[in-house]
Amino acid sequence: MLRALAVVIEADLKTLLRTGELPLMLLMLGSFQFLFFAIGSVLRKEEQLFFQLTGYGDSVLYQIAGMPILFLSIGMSWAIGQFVIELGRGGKLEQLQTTATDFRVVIAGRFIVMAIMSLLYYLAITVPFIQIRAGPEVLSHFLPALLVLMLGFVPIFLFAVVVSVVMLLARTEALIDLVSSIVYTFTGVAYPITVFPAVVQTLASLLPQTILAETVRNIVLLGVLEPARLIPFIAVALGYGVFSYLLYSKLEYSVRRGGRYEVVTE
Amino acid sequence: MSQGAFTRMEVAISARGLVKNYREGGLLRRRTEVRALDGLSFEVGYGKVFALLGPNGAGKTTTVRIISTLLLPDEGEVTVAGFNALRSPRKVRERIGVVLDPDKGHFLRLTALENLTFYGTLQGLSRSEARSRASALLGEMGLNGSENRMVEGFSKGMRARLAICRALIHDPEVLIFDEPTSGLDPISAREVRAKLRELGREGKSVLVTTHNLWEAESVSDEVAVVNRGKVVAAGPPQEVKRAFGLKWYVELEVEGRLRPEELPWMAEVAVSERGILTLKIAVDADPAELIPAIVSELRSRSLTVHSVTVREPTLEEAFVRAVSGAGR
Repeated sequence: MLRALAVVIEADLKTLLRTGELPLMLLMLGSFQFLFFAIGSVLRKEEQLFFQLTGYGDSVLYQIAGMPILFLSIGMSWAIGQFVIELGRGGKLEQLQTTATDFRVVIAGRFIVMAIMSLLYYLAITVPFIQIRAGPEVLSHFLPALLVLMLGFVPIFLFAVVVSVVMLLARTEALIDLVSSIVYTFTGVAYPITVFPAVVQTLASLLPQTILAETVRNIVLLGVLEPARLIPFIAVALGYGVFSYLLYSKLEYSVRRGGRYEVVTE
Repeated sequence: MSQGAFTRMEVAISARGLVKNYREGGLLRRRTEVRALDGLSFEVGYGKVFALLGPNGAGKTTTVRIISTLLLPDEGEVTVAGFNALRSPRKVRERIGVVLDPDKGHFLRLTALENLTFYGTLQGLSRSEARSRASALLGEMGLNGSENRMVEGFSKGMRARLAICRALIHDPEVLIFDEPTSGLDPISAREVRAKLRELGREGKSVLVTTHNLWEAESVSDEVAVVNRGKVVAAGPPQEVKRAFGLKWYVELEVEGRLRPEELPWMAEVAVSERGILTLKIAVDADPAELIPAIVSELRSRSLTVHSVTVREPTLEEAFVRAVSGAGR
């Protein structure tokens, strides 16, 4: 299985590099982050009010630290769902299903590629911006933050699998846009969710992005890592793990029963 | 001896009583059911090339997809290489090589060699095994100069040959081809047919679907004619033709005086402008042994025989009879 996983990762990386989409995507996300940084640095803001709402004294750092989680989440959902759709359209999904390797190995390969990309993005773009803004004292915070971010890949990947499977069962790509909007607005990756009613905050806490954004921010900006924060991580990961497994099994059966490997048509 | 081993000795592929209905429609449209397979059964022996023939919508592709483990039937059983395709799909996948659409299934931004190494590794080969086997197969299929080219630049014929390499990469015992020459130019199609014949000679069990009756007759040891989800005729091409009572024709061009009533066994007599007579005789079996006697009979009547042509019944005629329901 490891051999198959390695060859999937290699093929995926080669394809991403040869299409030229990867540098463009990194440039676009880097520009986006720079805009947040530049506009946030120039504009006068009510930092006192922001501190009361969030517990953080710098709204620019707050956004910069949360952005990788947003990109990771959207990127992962897009990467898994779109990947399966593209495989289906090109006849590759059927061909892969006739091989001895479980298709979940191919999906896992895709996850690892996206995780590598996310780590590169974090190190090449997020870390420098935070350091410029916060100064050298936060340098020691990055390694533990990186480890927690890597741990957070798991629930976010499982969340992406759930989104992708629902999208494939519903046979619509529009679900990714809807999920991206929800993640952007309600998980605290860009804006504090403390402004929302309690019920929204409770629902938001079921999303792995909310937990990950808050934990990473705590480490990077405040240098605080509370082990107790890892418990909801594991609980959410387990929940999405079971849910995604059940949904995937349903999708696999549904596709084998209906024979529709071109799951979402043009 | 296990059940699997017992079946393995018998047949490479066995399909029994396959029924498949496709459901169409949904929330906003009336739900309808289309019956694609209606109790289809056949067997492919080890080392045989077997062709599934049928008109569009007969159920050939549905059958191939069920045997390839991609589709579940509503009823029926399928065993491939001794393993149940419905209950043990992974064991079947390890033993089959599949070409569903020769133009599809390739990773376009990978080279031919990378594509084959990728699929070979997914089929359980080590990376070095997959690469060396890929190089050998590309050479066999005439793609050795293109092994490091990205597949997006390949012609349809080259992609079809690459698809065959992909199916063969792990040296499977059973090969399944769905319309392998569809849309190919005549030269590429000829190369693919040659490969199918070669695989048969090598002892591989091959299931191939095709619209091309001549192709089926030329590459396969046995055929099954499928219509409306059922097998309506099966066996070696000669037997299928015989089963429908099709005639062989011997055409002779002769010169001389002849009254048709002198030879009552003659089916047809025509006279050309040059005064040459064309005689047509219909017989039930291969007339090779009859021809000397016929020629001798004509010579005894002072006729000069210029030429003898034998036209054997085609699979196309049997196919038309089978599909139109004309009796055997």
